[in-house]
Amino acid sequence: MTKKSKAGIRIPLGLLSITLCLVALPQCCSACPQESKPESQSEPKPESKSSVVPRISWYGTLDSGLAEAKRTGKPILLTSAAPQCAGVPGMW
Amino acid sequence: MDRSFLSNAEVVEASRNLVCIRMATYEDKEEAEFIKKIYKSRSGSLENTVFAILTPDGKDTLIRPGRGPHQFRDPKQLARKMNSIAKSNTKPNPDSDKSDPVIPFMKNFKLALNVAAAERLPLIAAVAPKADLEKLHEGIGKKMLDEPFQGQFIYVSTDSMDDLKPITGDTTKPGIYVIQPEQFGVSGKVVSLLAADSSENQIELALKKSMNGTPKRVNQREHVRKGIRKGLDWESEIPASDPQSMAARERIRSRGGRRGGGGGRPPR
Repeated sequence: MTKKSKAGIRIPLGLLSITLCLVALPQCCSACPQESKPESQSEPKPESKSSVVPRISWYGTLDSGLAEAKRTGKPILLTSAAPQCAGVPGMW
Repeated sequence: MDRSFLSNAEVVEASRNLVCIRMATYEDKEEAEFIKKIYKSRSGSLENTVFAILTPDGKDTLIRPGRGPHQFRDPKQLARKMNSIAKSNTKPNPDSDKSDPVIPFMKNFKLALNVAAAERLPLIAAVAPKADLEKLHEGIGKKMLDEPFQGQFIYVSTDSMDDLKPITGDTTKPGIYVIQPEQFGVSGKVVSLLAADSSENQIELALKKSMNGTPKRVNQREHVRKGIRKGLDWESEIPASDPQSMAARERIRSRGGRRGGGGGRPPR
């Protein structure tokens, strides 16, 4: 008798939770594209100006830099570094 | 050495009032001689890194040259110094408007690919037979000086299709290549290829699409360890002579790259 009544309670609760899920799910999905879609799944965005970090424009050879300094009369910021670390390239 | 100096926003802004030259040490004999005249190291040999500010004719120094900008407390102080130097040392050339700006380019393709990897930037390569190269170079090269693209690429021109051998993708035609270097800058892949007769709009669009945003930082120790495991050993044009770096190189290589350290990293 007790078992039956317990089972009787369980079934309606199970049905209720399934019904709630079915009602709530479409709302969640319709909201996703606008509000909560992860960035990785969204449409690729064009490169925005703000994401590009301004960088120094370097002359990669001495002659070209000296020629531009002569042309413009601007002082020269000069650096030199080896593009390898312990012989491994791809790093200053 | 504080690597943030040359990537600091105020320093970058101040750099627009100077001509910035970044040479690759040990990659050109004449440049090596020039650097040795500018910076006399304790060892008397050409060291891995040098930092200086020079007069417009390149003959005199305007700050004390060193291995890096150590004499400045922080990037702000360096930016202030750069601005004051530009203000008091620029000697406007009345004929400057009569000539085109000099295009910033790298000495050769191999070095350009390496530097592009070190900078985590795309490589733009103008590739054409000798007869057509100058026109192509002028067209794409001047884009490197336009404000949205300044400093955002490494640029090189070449008349040798063989230079593209380490690059994957369609590398059979002349044109303007946008190349993404792999981590070590010994190979790369074609991101896009523009025909030599592409319009300015097409070129600008391709450049904008390939701009990196914020480049990812790479762990130096891990990079060296992986590079040694891959058997990489960069051969420079002239022998390296920095005693500190050479000792570090021996130490690191004898341990298979398990320990980092040993100098030669420039400010960034």
